[in-house]
Amino acid sequence: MQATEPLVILIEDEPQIRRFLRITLGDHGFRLVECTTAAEGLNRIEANQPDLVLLDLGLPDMDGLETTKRIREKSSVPIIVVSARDQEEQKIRALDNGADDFVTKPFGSGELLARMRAAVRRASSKNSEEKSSIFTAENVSIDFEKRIVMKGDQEVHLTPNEYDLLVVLVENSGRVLTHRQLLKQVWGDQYTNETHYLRVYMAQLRQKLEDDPARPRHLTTEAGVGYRFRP
Amino acid sequence: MLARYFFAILTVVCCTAISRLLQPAFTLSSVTLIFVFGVVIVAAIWGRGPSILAALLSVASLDFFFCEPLYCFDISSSSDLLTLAVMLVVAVSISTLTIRVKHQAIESARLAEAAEMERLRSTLLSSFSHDLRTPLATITGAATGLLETEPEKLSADQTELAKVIFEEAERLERFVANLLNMTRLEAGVIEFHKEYQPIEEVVGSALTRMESRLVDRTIGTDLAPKLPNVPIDAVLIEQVIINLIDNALKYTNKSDVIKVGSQQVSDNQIVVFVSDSGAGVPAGEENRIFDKFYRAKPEGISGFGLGLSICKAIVQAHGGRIWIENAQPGACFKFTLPTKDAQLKEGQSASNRATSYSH
Repeated sequence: MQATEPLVILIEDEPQIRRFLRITLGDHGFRLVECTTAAEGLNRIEANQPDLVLLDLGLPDMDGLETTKRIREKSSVPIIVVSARDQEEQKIRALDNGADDFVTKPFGSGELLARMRAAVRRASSKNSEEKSSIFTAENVSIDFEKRIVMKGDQEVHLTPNEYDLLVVLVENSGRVLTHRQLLKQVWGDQYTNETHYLRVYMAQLRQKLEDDPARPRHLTTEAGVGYRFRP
Repeated sequence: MLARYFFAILTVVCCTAISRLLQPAFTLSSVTLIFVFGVVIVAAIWGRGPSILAALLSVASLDFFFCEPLYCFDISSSSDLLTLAVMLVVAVSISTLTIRVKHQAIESARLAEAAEMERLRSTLLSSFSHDLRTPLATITGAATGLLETEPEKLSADQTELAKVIFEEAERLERFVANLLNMTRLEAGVIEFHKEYQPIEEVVGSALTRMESRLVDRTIGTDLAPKLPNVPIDAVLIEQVIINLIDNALKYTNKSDVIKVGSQQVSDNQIVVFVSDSGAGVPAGEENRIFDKFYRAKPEGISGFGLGLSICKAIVQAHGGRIWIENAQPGACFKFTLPTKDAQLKEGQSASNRATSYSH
């Protein structure tokens, strides 16, 4: 990983939002390149090889889905989409097509910074060779080599599908995964519309791993979008 | 009304006068065309009844003024009789066609106008939404940016002021969101993305989203085991639950307990409830609280009276019902959701507009 501060390309047409992000992100150890159109952003991504892209969904020259697809054609850089509440559909399609996460306007800078740091960290650990063989989040731990899941000091017995689902969520810890992405990764390409499978297995995982399955601490739902493992 | 028939008669009189002037040079069949033209004009301008009257009068006038023997209604030649019969049929059919074309033109103009209105309303709503929310997003972001700076850079007072800015901007954003949602629901421009899903999950995601505002409150869940999946738009039903919890937070004290739960009440219905141990709703106001801009206790409680009316609109658009029961102590908001949607199969999703919304 580079020793320097992570480079962020911000594609946002609202000058006031750029203004506060410039200050906030600068204060928290990010270098920032600002673009006001998708076309400019795409050029900059190619030229600057950033560590992260912040993409607004309301750009004047290209919609979010198209921009995400174009970025993915040339780069695997993490993309966080910034969406307004009435852009649900565009947001989900951008996530399905390779965007890593989203924040919804209005967002607090704490939430945005957390998402950005998590995305940068995931990208750099994906690139590094050494992968930890044990994952821990509070009282839940997973030993990937032995395929053992523990809650506190109790071993939890999971079915193969439950285990695979948990591993996909945990490998993307902190990041939202859409229904479609989870179904594709755990069950395969032909199952991407069978969301009821997914709901059943999520409910079972919560029963086994959460202290209060009705108010999950780790296996959280993003209504209308998908699921997120919160560490 | 009668004027239309008067104009029909007048048209036939004019046709008769013109035909009389031209008659020496033309045969009966040529003169008939002038009358057919008159009938078509009557049909286009004054509609069906007058055009039939005009057709009948035309035949009578042709018979009286132009067929041998003249100036009586007898007809001597069978070819003249045929001409008149054909004239009547042609006049009536052409006038029928003319009226149909006219109606189609009016209908397509009306549809075009409605589509244009709808487009205008959508554009207006989204630009209104954008223009109001972008500054709010900037204010929220900037205020939290201040709060995120290293603690020693801000005094306690400054931190407190930044918090005030943040909380009030968030409140305004919630209000704008409610107002826009209400307008969208009423205008029928909200898209519903229905899918069969467990209500437990929606309750959970609502509680997660409200986490930061629930830290110093006691909130419990009471979800019956084995609830059936329900065909709902998760984002909208989550909004209903959030609005109801928000309402409970506003009208109760920190020591009061709030409970969210659900149970199945019949084969085709579940009930979701949000109850609290607060003061409850004044008797007689149980229905009015769901009205737009109505507030039970305006003094000292923030809000604009939109939260509950949005709940009502969303629940009704799902085919459910919402009401309040005064419990002892406290209030219990309940709403029903159907467990079946005839147009939607389990495991499918569908998008449609909320056309079933009513006040």
